[in-house]
Amino acid sequence: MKKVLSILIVATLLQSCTEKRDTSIKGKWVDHMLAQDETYHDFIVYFKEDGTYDGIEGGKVVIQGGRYEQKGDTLIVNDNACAPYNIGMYKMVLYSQDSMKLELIADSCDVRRQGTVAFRFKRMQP
Amino acid sequence: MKWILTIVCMVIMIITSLIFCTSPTQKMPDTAETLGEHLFFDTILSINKKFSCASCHKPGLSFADSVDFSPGAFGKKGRRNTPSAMNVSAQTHFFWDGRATTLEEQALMPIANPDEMALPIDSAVKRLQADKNYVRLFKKIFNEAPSSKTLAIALAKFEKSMETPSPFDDWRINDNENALSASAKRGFTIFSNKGKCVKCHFGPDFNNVEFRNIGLFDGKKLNDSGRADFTKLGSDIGKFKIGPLRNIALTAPYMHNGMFKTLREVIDYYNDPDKVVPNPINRDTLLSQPLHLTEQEKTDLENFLKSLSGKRQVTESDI
Repeated sequence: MKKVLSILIVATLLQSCTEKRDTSIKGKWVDHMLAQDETYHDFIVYFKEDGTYDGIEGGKVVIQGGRYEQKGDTLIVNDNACAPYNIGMYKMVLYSQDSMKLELIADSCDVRRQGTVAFRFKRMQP
Repeated sequence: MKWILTIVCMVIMIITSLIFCTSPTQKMPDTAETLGEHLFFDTILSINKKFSCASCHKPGLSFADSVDFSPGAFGKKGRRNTPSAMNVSAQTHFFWDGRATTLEEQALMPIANPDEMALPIDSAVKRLQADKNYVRLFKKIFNEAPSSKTLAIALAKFEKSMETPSPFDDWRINDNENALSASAKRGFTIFSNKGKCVKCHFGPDFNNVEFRNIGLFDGKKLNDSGRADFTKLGSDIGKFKIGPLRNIALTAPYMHNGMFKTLREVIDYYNDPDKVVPNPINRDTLLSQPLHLTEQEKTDLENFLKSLSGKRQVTESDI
């Protein structure tokens, strides 16, 4: 019995050490944010397979077809809301596989910078 | 004879009960939003009691109008095309020249405008205060008698409630590939790239918070100076609020002066503005070169714009 238990513990430890962490940003992330009207809204960012992302609020796409690139833990974003300062760079800080914040590396677009660093994202289940 | 009388009586009873069952007593406004809707359709807010907000903001036309300039209470036409009253909750400026910065501020202006409903706000409030039904409703909802503030809040709440997600949103959010035609999807690509539309038309309702001069001011035939009317700044001459695009297919004619009757005319204009207005003053440099869109690309772009039409919930006006 002891032997079986030991094997199980070792196996569990090994699995947790070798388990590959999903660090890809692809998918939907939600932030439960306090809006200007003092009510809470869900703001969703959908990072798509094709390298584009949308911002979604109240069932409407509010940021359409921004472009993103993930290089390790660096996220590069580019959207029309911030023209002509299109490019923004952020460090992805993953608390776990399903929660994340973005730390500023460089972004001269005030609106995007202020919004992005305030978000605390939770990964949405597909 | 008795038999016929019995049937007639029964029919009358049925009709009467139907009327009472669906009467306003059951649909009496009980929130600021529904009170705002009630007010929006009520002619009490115009000088001659013949016009309501809905006279120009027609529900079947995405709460816009089908004419270049809507007539007001005295039959005089307004100066600018009626914009849609839907999808306004994210807007930061109202009217083509942006002279109002909140919906509450905007809501009262057409009531008082002599070319529109022509009723001074003080008079409008007095009318509401003299109406027992409205006094009861305002007290129930706002805990006070009708005032200009609560009138504005109610109208604004109703307008804020009219958000219409569209097939385009369904496609992007839910990956529903059937929500849009292949042509409309190509149109989105053109919108975002070759067409350069996205340079100005982005955000929740596909309009930026800026004012732009798209070349519809030449100081002669086209002499509405737009934003400059309000700001008195020379740099604002010919600038207008960038138009939201949600439900755009339902809100013809287009532009501040309704000069384009169809979406295709709008696309043709942007494709080569000089062909339509040869000597514009202070036109935005974004429009300095023709786009060279093919006929297929124009069709695709038009189909994309049509995909931005969304349905609204059934409201009092539909019943």
